[in-house]
Amino acid sequence: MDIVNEILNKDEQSRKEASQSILVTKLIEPEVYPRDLLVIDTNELNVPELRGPNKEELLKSNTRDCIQILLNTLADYPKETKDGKVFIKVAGAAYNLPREKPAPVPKPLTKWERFAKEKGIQKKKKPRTTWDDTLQKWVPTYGYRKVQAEKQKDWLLEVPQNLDPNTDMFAEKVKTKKENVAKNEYQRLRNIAAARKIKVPQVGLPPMEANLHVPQLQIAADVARVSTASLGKFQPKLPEDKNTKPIKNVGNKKKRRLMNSNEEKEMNLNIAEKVLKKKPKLDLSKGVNKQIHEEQTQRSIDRAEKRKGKKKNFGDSDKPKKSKSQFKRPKAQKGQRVGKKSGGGRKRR
Amino acid sequence: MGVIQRVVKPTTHRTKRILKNKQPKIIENTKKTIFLRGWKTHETVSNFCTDICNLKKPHSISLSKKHEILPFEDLGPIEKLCNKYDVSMFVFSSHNKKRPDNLVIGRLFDHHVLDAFEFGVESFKSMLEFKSWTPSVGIKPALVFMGEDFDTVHSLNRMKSLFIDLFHQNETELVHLNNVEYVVTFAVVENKVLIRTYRIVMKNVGEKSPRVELESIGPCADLTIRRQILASDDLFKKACSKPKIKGKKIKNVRRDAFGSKLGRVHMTPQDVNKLQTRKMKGLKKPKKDAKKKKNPE
Repeated sequence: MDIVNEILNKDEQSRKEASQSILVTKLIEPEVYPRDLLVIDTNELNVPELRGPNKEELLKSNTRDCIQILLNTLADYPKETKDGKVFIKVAGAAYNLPREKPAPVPKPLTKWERFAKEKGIQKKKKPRTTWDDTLQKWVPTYGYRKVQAEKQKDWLLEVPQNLDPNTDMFAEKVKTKKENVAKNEYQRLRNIAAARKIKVPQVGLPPMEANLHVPQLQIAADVARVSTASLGKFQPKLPEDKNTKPIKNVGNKKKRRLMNSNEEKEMNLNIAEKVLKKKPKLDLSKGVNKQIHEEQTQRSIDRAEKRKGKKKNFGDSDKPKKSKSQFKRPKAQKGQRVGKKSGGGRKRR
Repeated sequence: MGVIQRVVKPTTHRTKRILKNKQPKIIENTKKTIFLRGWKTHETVSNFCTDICNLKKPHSISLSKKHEILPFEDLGPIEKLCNKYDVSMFVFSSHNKKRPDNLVIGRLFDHHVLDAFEFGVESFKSMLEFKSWTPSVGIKPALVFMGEDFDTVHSLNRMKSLFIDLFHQNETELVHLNNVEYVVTFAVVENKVLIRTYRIVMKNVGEKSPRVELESIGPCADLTIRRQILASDDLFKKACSKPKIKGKKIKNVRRDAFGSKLGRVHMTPQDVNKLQTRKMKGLKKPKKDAKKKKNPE
């Protein structure tokens, strides 16, 4: 019996040792994230020990304890066999890390989609091919062989009565097609700009950062003048502002009251009468100025001719000298210099 | 009001796929890390970088060219490079008199630097010095953080998150004990972060879990903390927010380890009586029509 007891005791002891070997006690229990295989041990480290020679040992033993805790927690989870291997099925939250990019937002609706939604217009699927009666065959709605079929079908085009009989309707067709494509592209870009919240400069208004030219500045000034609550009605004139054109299409259009046909006819006749009665205005000062200008130019031409006769003795006076006013300004994107052409050779400094 | 950005349409299917992959997703890819060199680097830092790069394979890109970048003066070029390669983490190494063996680790959110930390690398030991064993490629390390400062000090808390991010891979629900191969330890002591790497050796003792022993492997280093860029709390919170996962569950389709798509197809039960077996003359059914035609004769 003693032998049996001894063996039993030994067995128990070894079991105890084994359980001791995987047992770890810590003052504060470390946080374990089994999904990330992560252990966060918030116990205070022994700093003076870490400065000494036992630094590596201490780090190692601490890490060992943490990993043991991780494995002990992993053992609590259920097991699953997959492809002949035993896996541990881990649950629980993962450590919250920042994302790489913000979460995707649903694509904002395009202008048409918004309209269709408002009106309740459903999207209809167009058939891939449709039967063409004139060609007697199936014609694709788009893509391969569509253009070919169109060419076959429209080998002859009628010129409408309101147009010049010599207009090339084929060229016209190409033009309208191109315009359509351009319009679609413009709308696509506008939708993208709206989706990305990019400000697009309005048509007719100059960009606000660039160095503006005089006409652009004039437009800006005109717009600014009428951009008040009363549409610029009470805006005082600037001292040197000569060109104060009213801006078109500002504010709401006046609503006309409904008229009966007689009234309308009368109104139209009145307008016609006014137009027919119109006589050219006589501006005296303008006329006088014009006359003076003409006389002056005539005189200067005469004088020039006289000088020409005198100077003939001095060498090459056949060519008229270029005056400053005759010098043309070079224009951009014409591909040629208009001004003084530089000869070849070395650049002299 | 700036210049309107050009809207580029992809012309080929390949670019379309690439651009689509760059778009933000609800469930994101594993973060990739780019390894950059400064104008001058020292052996110590560059070796440290190569070691981490090797551990992080295949989620790392190493650029061997020198870059004249100072991340703490201008973040622009780094952001540009990261966006070019579509990565969201960077490790930048440089060396100069003022900051010898300099290492900058940072990450991006929404194409801009979220946070970055600068370290000085000291007492470095490479993976090659131990040579005994190297972990298999693409394996996820266990991570251990030690020291209460990681929890209490704000900047160190962020640093912890950065280090987790550096070694993080997409979480899986299934863990195999053989895949817990090595552990990277971070301990914070007096303005220093001690990084150690150990191999995990498991010993079966007849209990529910095996007993763990550790063996030192590289890389090991002491990092002194230098400068840092921290994201504001708002931004960090925004970056950490999790979107709700919606959408239909894809049924009956899965991918195996080699990436090939496997589908389960459900069929209507087969009628065994109508099954065509081997044809023989004797088993042939007599034609009804033929009989009818023959009978009137």
